[in-house]
Amino acid sequence: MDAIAHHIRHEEHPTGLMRWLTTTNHKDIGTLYLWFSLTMFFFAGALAMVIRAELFQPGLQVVQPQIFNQLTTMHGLVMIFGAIMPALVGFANWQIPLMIGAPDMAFPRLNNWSFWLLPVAATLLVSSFFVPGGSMAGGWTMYPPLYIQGGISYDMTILAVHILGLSSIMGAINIIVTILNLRAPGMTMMKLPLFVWTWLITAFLLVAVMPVLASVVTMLLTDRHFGTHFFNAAGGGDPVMYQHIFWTFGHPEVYIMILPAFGIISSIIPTFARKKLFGYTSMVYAVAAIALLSFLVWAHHMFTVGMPVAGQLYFMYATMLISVPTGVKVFNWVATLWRGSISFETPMLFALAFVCLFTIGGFSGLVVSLVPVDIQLQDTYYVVAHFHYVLFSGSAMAIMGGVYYWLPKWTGHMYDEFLGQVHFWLTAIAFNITFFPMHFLGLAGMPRRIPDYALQFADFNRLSSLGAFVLGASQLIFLYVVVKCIRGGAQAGDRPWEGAESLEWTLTSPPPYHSFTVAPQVK
Amino acid sequence: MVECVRAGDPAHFCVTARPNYVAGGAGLRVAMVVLLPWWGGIGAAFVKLGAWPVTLFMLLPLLGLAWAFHQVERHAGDFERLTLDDDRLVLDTHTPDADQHLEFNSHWVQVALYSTSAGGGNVLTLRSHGKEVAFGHLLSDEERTAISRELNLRLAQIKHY
Repeated sequence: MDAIAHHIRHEEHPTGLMRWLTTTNHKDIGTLYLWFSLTMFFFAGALAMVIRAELFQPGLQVVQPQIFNQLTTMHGLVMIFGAIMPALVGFANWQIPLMIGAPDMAFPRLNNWSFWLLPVAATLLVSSFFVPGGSMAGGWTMYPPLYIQGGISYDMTILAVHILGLSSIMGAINIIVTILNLRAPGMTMMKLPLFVWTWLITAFLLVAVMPVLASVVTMLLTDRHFGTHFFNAAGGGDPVMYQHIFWTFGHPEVYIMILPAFGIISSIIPTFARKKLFGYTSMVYAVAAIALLSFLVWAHHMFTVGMPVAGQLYFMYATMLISVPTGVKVFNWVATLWRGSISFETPMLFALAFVCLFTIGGFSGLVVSLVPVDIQLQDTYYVVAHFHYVLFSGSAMAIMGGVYYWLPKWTGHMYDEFLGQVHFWLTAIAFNITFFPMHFLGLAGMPRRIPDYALQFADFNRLSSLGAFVLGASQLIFLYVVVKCIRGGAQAGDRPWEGAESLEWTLTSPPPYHSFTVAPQVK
Repeated sequence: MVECVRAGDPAHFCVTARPNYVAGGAGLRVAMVVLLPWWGGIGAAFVKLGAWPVTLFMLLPLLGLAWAFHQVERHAGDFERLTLDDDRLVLDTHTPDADQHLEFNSHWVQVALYSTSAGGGNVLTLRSHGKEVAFGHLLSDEERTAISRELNLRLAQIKHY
């Protein structure tokens, strides 16, 4: 009878709060990741609004410098670890089993645990605002000596980073095993949708570099409390070694946040161009090449620490080399659009904006890869502009496009196309108003992470802040569209986009709670 | 995945269900070929620089990944087999932890299909002489329904003769 009881438990699922706490279903867990990510996106976005309010004009208006530093640090940490990465893992959870014809992830309980570690870490991070001394203020990169000297909030951050890292590693192991072992019969590796390929490679990156982050923050912890001197110069340690270790993690981390976005865009563009993706094989190799190169360029983040010229030259050229596989991808997206029957629904608008704006971010990255230029632009607003073009118009806008693209499949309802387009245009225009002037501010020498600035930077800062307020407010439309779509709307067909071809579109909208219990045969 | 072997007469029927794993041990080899050189190279460099904890930490996810593939590989040979052979209905199950072999008398055994209250799932059981066991853990609801129907039909014919 035990076997029967076990069987019944397997088929049933609880309802209400217990459904979400105990779920092992990949769709439920994907939904949890996406809601968590959206919540963190609004939290970190609210911090950004305060930052831009302070920078609206010279002088100190809204917050004191110490608080300002806390806000910029927390904004960076939460956006990276709380918003972008969980959103992409949410997509992975929803889409990978559906796209490869698997009934679920390989380790569903591990999947549940991976998610529920996140709120714990987020609570630690956010509550650090309320401890004596306030939240950590040393920047998201956690450089010593500031992180060796700070108060209790620094320990909370280190613990939170450990938990986030553990969650990511468990998720990555699950994704690797799922993709390699749970594909439907006939789904060979070179038939995998590009989104799945990008996630497989991203998962390998996560397994390779998240422990590096965990180790470096552990060394910070032991330097702080256990008398070691890994990074403490007073004891013979080397703070620059911290930077080398951190960026061994940190640069691949950039690709962890962008490769799955490439996968989302590679799903959207062929659908709305009504053509097969141009150069599928070269896309796969390009993603792999980008991932490989991402391990070899870490020190371009530290040209100003003082390294041999040979080292500077190597890291400069290696960094420039990344533009080759990235260029292959951009070329292939444009070639897919070429002579396609293009329609401009909201997901496609986000995808096209991604291609244009991410390319700008890539080019500004090439600019700062040049050692003589980088030495001038290090820690200026040019760098802030560059990484927001990569991470907002790259990752975040791909995520938004992906949500619009798969929302009809997930909910069974069509989203409000008009409001979706309003959201897109406000986001795209406000984003450029916010971040494009930062290039000029950086070139003029305005340093980042300061609450006050010289008068000559006032006009561009005011423009930037106005853009930021519109950008922030327009995300409320996104929230409204998503909630409205979940609650109802026009019925979405099984394949609401006529150009969509991967396996998930063979299922009903929304898909059954247990999908692909019979493995599909892929031809 | 499920394999069925049907004979012409109703008294011979065999159905085997297995988990749907495709790659076997190849996945672990691929993962290690990708990650071990990284671990060796970077790990050695950081040990030389005095940051030895990096090497230890990098080893942990590799062990985790190896464990994960091992678990999948361990269960790749799992199966459930139901064999109707004249007067006997034999249930064989194989998992890494236990093998089960149960025999029922075809004239007495009853096949039951329970609907579960939520989720639209079902459970297929065999019961006889106060004993009841589930079959079809690796099958879908539709497959369990189809097998229940076919088995009941064949058992009815056996009992009739």
